[in-house]
Amino acid sequence: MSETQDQAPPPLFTALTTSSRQILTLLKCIGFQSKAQLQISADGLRVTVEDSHVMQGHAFIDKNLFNTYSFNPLPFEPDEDPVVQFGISLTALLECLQIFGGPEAGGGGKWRGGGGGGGGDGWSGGTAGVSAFDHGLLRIAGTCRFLYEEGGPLCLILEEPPITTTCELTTYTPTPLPDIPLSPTLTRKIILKSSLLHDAITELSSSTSSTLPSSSSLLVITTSPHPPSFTLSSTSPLGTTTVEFTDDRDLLETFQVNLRTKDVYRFDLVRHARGAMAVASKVSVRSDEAGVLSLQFMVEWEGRASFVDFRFLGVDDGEGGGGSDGDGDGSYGEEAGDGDSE
Amino acid sequence: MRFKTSIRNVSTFIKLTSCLVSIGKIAWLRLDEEEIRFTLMPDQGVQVFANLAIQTLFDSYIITSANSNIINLEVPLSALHRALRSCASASDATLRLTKRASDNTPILCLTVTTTTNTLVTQEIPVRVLSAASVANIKEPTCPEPDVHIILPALHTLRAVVERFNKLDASRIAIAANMNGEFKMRLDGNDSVKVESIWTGLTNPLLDPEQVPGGVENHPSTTREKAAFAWVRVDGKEWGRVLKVGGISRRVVACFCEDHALVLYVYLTDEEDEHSAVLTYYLSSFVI
Repeated sequence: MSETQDQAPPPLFTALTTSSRQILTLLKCIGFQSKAQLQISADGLRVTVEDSHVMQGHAFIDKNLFNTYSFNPLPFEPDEDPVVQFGISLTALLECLQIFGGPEAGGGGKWRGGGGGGGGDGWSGGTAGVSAFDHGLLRIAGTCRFLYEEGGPLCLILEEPPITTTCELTTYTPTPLPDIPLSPTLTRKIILKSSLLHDAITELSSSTSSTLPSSSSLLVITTSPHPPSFTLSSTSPLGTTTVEFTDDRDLLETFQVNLRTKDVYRFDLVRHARGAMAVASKVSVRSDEAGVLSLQFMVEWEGRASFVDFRFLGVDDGEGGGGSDGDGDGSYGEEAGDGDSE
Repeated sequence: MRFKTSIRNVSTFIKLTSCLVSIGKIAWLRLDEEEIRFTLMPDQGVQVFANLAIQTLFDSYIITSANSNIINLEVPLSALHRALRSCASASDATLRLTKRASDNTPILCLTVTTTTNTLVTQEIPVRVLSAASVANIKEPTCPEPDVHIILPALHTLRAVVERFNKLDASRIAIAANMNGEFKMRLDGNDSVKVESIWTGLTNPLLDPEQVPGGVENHPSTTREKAAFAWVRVDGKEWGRVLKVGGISRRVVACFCEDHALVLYVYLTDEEDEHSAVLTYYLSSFVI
């Protein structure tokens, strides 16, 4: 819009969106942690949270969710993609994105500025008539502008006439958070409707208990080229629940498994992805030989896809498979939002 | 001492008690031949003074007492609110002051005829206050306001306040100027600072008859138009006050800088015959 009006150099990052609801939905998917790392690049915003060093959640807010998007980094190393990263309170960011006021009440036009005075202090007739072009009646969507200057706060300017809200989110020194790497040699790749996974995880939750330590429940994923093809079980001191999927194209859009493989994960951590399971249209379930699990969710609006990716390290269950050789060095680069679940 | 009335406007009465009950537990109810007055003065926090013409709520109103036909009662608000809620769909409701047969406790007796012609009676125990005991209860005196402004729709204001409170339910700074602008700010939180501003609001004109020193000398006139007058209030309390948006037709906020915020909440329209106004006093915190 008006970034170029001033003669001053353009801000490091500024972007304007009328899709703040979509951005909010994506960020809510990883809203299980209060602090997040935010990375700005030429392609969009990448927001990362982690839990216990064994799981990460990445929400990728593509620049196509913005009406204008301008990132003006200082010159970087020539062969490096310029990025800016900082820590931020995700809780505060989520609340700020929801600050837009509620719907205006109709009939407000009756409130003219006049007397009626029982409470003393009379006001002689003013003129507060609300015009026919009341924004509340027209439901003009609000805009949200992001603004960031090196070292400063991340500013969100929400405009929904006649209200303008400015939020200054404190930015923190970035915490290095190497991505949990997923090797290109996959042991399974399954694409299914996200709601199916959501239902399965909800079903499996019934055998876990809130009175037991949450980390005592495990999720076992078994895949095999022969039926049952794809099995999810939750095990806890209370018992085991199993959900089986058959390799049916109506059920599993993609099913690529060569060998029978079994991996074990902490159930409570997988449950962090339930918000994403609920809003996404599809999910790509992938694992590699080291037992790293990736759940990549595709969230769609009006034909535009956005991605939220969760990575989990496996739990060593003493039966081999599902190694947890942690400490990824990030050398595989990031894959969130690479769109390979199409 | 006799008080008996039929309730003309149950839904307004319920909305009124629901607003009051969110501010305090006990109200002083003063009834006379012209007016109904509810006064809430909790030990701390918001004070509310509600002055209503009798016809706003009541009909066939009879009041007599040895004290110039004035009756002062201490009323438990939640009991009154509960009783009224149960007669929301009644075809007829009457309220009278009487004594409970068993122990002579004074009670407000609410009798309701339901749509199925059943008679339901509810007793609200009250305390009759002597004229002397209420003689010293007065509305606080405030300096002439620096800024007065008509607030935007209270429910949008409240939606924003609720978000502020989720971020940090402590103090909210509120300000307005004589240029039709109103703002709220949340600071003192490490991770986020938020400020919302509304523009294009109305600063109502002062009625010269009510300004003894002349409108031209009033602080709101002599003040620079764009200069904001600030007060600081408790966020939770501010949210509760804004619940009155459910019944108000119009709210005028008066800012006495760094001192108090006074809200005049009009429950009736300007052209309505019977007026009903709630006055809320919120003291400002010192920075």
